[in-house]
Amino acid sequence: MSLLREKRKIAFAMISPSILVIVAINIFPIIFAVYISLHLWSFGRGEPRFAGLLNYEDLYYDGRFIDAVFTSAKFVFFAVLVEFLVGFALAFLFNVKVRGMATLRQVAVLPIMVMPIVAGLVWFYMFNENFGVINWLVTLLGAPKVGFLTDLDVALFSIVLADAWQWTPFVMLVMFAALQSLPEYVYEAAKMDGLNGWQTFWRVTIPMLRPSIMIVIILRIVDSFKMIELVFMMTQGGPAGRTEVLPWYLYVTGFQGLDLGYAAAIAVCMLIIVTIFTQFFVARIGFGDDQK
Amino acid sequence: MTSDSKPISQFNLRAALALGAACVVVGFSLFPLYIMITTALKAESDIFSWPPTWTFSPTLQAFKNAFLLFGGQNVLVFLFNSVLITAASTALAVGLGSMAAYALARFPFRGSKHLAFFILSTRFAPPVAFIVPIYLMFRSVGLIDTHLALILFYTSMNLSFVIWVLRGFFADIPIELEEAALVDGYTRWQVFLRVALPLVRPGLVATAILSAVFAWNEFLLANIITQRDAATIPVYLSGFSASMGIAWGEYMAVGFFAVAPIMIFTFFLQRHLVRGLTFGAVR
Amino acid sequence: MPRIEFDNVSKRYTPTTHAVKNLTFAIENGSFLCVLGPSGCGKSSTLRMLAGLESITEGEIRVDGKRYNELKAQSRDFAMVFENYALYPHLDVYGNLAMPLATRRLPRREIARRVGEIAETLQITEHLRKRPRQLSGGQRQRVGLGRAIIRDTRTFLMDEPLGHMEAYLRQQLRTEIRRLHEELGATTFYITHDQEEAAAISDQIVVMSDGRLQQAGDLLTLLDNPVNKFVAEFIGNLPISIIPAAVASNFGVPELIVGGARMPLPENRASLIESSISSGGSKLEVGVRPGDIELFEDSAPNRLPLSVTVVEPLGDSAVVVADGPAGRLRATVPADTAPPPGKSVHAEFDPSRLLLFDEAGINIFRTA
Repeated sequence: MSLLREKRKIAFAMISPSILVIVAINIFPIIFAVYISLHLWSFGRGEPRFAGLLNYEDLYYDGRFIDAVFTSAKFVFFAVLVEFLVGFALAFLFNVKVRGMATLRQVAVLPIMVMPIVAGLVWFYMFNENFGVINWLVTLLGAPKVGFLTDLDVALFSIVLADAWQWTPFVMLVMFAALQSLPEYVYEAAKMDGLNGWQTFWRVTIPMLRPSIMIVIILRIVDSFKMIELVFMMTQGGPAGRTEVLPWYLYVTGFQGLDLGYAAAIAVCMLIIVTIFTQFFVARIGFGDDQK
Repeated sequence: MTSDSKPISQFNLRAALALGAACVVVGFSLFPLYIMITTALKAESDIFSWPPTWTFSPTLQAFKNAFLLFGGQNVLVFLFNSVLITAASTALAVGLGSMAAYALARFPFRGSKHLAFFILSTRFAPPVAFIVPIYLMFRSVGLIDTHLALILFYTSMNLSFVIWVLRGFFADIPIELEEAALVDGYTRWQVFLRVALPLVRPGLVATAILSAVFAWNEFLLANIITQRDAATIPVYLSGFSASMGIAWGEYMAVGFFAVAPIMIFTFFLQRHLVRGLTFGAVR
Repeated sequence: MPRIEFDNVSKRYTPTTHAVKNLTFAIENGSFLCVLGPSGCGKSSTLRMLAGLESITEGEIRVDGKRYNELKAQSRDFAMVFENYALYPHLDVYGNLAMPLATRRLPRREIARRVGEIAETLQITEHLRKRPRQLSGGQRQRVGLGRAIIRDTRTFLMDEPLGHMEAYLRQQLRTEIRRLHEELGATTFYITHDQEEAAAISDQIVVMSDGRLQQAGDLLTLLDNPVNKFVAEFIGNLPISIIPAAVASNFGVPELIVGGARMPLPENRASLIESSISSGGSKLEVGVRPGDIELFEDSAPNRLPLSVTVVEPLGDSAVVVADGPAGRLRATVPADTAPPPGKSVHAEFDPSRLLLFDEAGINIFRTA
């Protein structure tokens, strides 16, 4: 009995600082955000007033909010699509056993570590209509200059490209690690069973990679949903709101428009969306450990 | 016993093609970084020239401007803040996180698995959802524009990841080693410090690196919470949009310093990183 | 024409280290051949070269007269059973059994029928929907066997399939394997390090050591007529006793001198050692199996004096371990006549069944 108590005491002592911090900084703010969202609360303009679900009702009819949701959805869809397809293919490329491939892989992965603000800065420079490198490449191919960040239809995809530059290597890294962890004997068995390369790929490799594929797609969906630095540096939501993803709309509402209650309501909506996805993740992957 | 289906020779066409393609990928990965460095070294006329100049005479003027007085804001303060906040939050995250992870792995109690998963789920919340409540919270306790504020925030954000990864590591250590130490008279705390922790060193390294990179790179909350005293490098760099895109060179120079240490670090420690992550996380 | 031929096959990883050296032997159609040898002797490499999973450095492997060296493993039409089962972890038993049929476009009903049949034969029908991780070792290997026999190919390669099993399971499954071999009229290439297993199920045994072929033949040949000391020591359920010996001429009659005892030899053997006598052969060793030793109380000129150290009971019989100045001997005797430890006995060898090894370990008494 005393051994169990001793263990409990120590466990408590070791866990509680972390729990304290997480509850204070991670959990409580979320609850507080819900509280704020139920008020009409403008910064520096009088006392907050309780308003029930008024903010949410306003959001429901807010065209700009709906647009932001769709813009976010578009961005996440295209970004994850490109990042997954290219990253997955690259994992196989870097899996080829040649001398020097390992070093090349380590270099290819570096964009992941770049400060997103810097990525925004550099791509902003490269996308510049007048002196940017990308337009120089475009003119090399004989086409006229493109307003990568000013053209209404192109802007969002420019952001997608910048995001893909940074995060495709992440997908590649995760899938590469997964490929490496596949046991060799399965391939020998497939050979002896008479399967050719194509059949082996579809019936053995892909099914065995399924857990990692799911994990990396969910991770990228959740992470690209949060993206704000690229919009901050490159377009500030423009042109004409075409790159106004939800995080940007929240930021503008709260810290430029100073409408804290409304911004908090947007935050709660975002949290609900993310929670739905996370539950999906749990349902698929279960309780096993995951990779970051 | 090796299985060899194709001899690996340097003149193998398949290998050559693969290497070639890989070089193209690497080129694409490095190209923006190359642009960053060259822009930092270019004279202003070169930066704005069309077509872009590929050969130019480099100048360190931009670096000088950025690191000495520039627009009234000396970037060195920002650099100092970044280093301090990153170091402190990483130390806290790994320190507190390793203890919590150990407790969850070694002293399972009813609901500990749910607790662990609950901790992990906090990783998924978008930081942007926090900006309103955190700002109000910190303002009410006077933590706005203090180092402590960001240190606390980054520690909290990193804790969930650190705990999740290290829990897997601790669970993989054979418990006999610790039991033997206990029999030898070690206290539980000593067992943790002297037996368990050294054995999870790859995990500690990996989580420390990733926590540091997260804190170093984080922009949004730093922008909201800090203004002058505790502002970090990302905040400095975001001032660029306000400056109407004139001081490219200076900002690229600072960007270089924001990125280069991490690059070098990661490149040389990548082996440890990957080992650290796949070791404990993939089971 | 033999079904499978190894013609001077070698496998080298570096110019100096070889896994297999100059291997030459053949397997007849319908035969069950075992490659037997200790760990590291090259038997696995041999099988994997035949399967196409490893490249051949020198020599040729022919199947039905056709050169197979460059042929891809997928096209070789062999079925393989692996030591570690090599089941597809992401498929259930049904999926594992059905995978070899994936290369042909068979209707689902046909696949189901075949899988059902195989599952019946191997008694794993109740496990069809389970994943490999839910099965025991024996069940997994049955699935491995099923996967091998579900195709129409009748040549099986088995890489120590029973290596990871408990003794009783091994007995059970090896009988299954032999039965399947006979029922299907298959040609089987089987590797193992367990000589008892090889003895029990194979028609032919190839003994390998250090990458080289030591001897190929059936069990009786290997037992009675081993080519060298290695084979003699490796084959046989009970350990053979090896003792230093010398040859001498006793008034023109060649004799074997072992530990002081002088043993005259039968005519056919006497001639074999004459050349040894003339070359001053003295660094010889004699090998005698426990069943070929008789123990007596009284001494005689052709008997070795020994003292009993330990008696190991084997049920109806017992192994008497006795030591003397020449070395240690093991003899089997009926359990009730076993002498007690400490007793002094005299051992007489059956001279027609002795083995005699020269300096290089070659069996001088071997008849071609």
